[in-house]
Amino acid sequence: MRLGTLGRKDDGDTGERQLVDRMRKGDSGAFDAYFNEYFPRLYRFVLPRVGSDPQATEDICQEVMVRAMRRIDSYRGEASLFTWNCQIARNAITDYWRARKRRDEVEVLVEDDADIGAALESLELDISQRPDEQQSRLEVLRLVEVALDRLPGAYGNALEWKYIDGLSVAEIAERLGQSVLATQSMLARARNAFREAFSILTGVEADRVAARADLT
Amino acid sequence: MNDHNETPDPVAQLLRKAGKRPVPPADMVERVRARVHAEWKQEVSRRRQRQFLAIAASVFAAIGAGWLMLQMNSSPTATLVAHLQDGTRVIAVGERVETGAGEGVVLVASPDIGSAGVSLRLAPHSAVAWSADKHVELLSGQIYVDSDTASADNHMLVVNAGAVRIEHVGTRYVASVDGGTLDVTVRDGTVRLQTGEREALLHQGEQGHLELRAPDIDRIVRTTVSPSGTSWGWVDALAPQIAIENVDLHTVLVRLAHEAGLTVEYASPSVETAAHATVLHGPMLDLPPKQALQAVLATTSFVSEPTQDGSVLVHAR
Repeated sequence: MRLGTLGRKDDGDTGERQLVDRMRKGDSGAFDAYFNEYFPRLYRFVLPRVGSDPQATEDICQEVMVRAMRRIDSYRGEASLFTWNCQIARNAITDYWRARKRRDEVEVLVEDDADIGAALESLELDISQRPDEQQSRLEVLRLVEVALDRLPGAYGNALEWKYIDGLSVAEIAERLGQSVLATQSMLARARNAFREAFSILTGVEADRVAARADLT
Repeated sequence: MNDHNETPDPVAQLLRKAGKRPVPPADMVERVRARVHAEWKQEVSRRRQRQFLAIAASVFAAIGAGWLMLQMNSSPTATLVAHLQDGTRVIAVGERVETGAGEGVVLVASPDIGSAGVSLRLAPHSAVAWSADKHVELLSGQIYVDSDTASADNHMLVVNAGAVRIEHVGTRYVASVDGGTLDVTVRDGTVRLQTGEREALLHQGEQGHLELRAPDIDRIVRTTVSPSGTSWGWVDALAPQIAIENVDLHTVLVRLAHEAGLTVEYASPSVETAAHATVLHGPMLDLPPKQALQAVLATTSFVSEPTQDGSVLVHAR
């Protein structure tokens, strides 16, 4: 699956393994870094998959991160940390829909229900559909969020700070605790990574989508 | 490099059109963080215990090898007498344990030396040395001894402070060395102090003060100390986490009250019955016992209030 590769072509793999190692050793700073970075991403991953139900999103995100803590010794860095959390989340989301089926006495199996199946498999659709032909403006913009969340390390945040919040490179460097030069270089890599991620998700170039009149 | 000279970028255009990504509400963040953090702490604790067992296994293997060497060379070997509760270290006879300015530590006596059920809490800025299987020398600072009352006689652990020998008689107490003086404060049960042939007993709520240079048991100065007062703060901060998952409220309250130097009373038999029937769910309690007690009650239909005699009175809301 192409999305699974997005988080691995990064210079954040080593950083993620180190982060997990520090968490295993009881480093509170590492826990805070993990939670602050991945909880909002996980929230955005789960929310559209449970019909935008905030309570279900909270319950599932909590369950996913609790399961991740229990399995932290099994994380080997073979997938990105976010991909690993998403794999756990998919199982939790499946459980959620199965439980709803029981409560509502729905006869149809969850995998036979077109709407539920579509929700569970939405990411697959994201990949296969072409935004210039089939997708609405909102869907394209949502894919921007998905691409940002799939970027390794702090790339997604850095791009958001730069182009949406309007922070200067110096301000971003200060937030990241690194030099202006290193931040400049990182932003360039982040832009390229975003282009690649968006292209994989939508099948078209980000430059082409940005120029579409109906997105303005 | 100047930020303002950058060429307009399609990526920038697309990101601006999309706007900021949605973020979870702050109250949701805090609720989930608290739950996940508790689970993470538990996992770290479990991991340390596993590591400790692995270390202990290798140490025991080493001791086994040492024992063989002893048989061959008749040279002495160390006995493991305790371990740190977080599983990071095992203690042998002759070793010192010191604490710095940060947190204190909890030591658990080994059943192998016949001190099962005895744990020690060492305050910050304190030092002890294990001089023999069941003998701990308090070199400086404060130590809290918590023994299992049911098996006290057979599981004695002696704390020595200078020439004074301190024995628990099924109890919990603090021994504190400050300069040339010793204070022993009894939270519950009884403590026996000995120098040579002389001895004195201290009971719950009593503090005994002695000069260490020439200790005279007959001239011990006695004062009264509340078993749940603020002087036990550092002890309570080192109290063990208490599991509440699938445990009834009464059991949890009794354990927390015990750690806080309190006893539990109920406003009526029906309240007590309801407390027994209330089963709790949740992560380990990682709070000092008094705060944990209030936190637990806040999730139930019960409230509590302190009484004059050091009890906590539980009644329905």
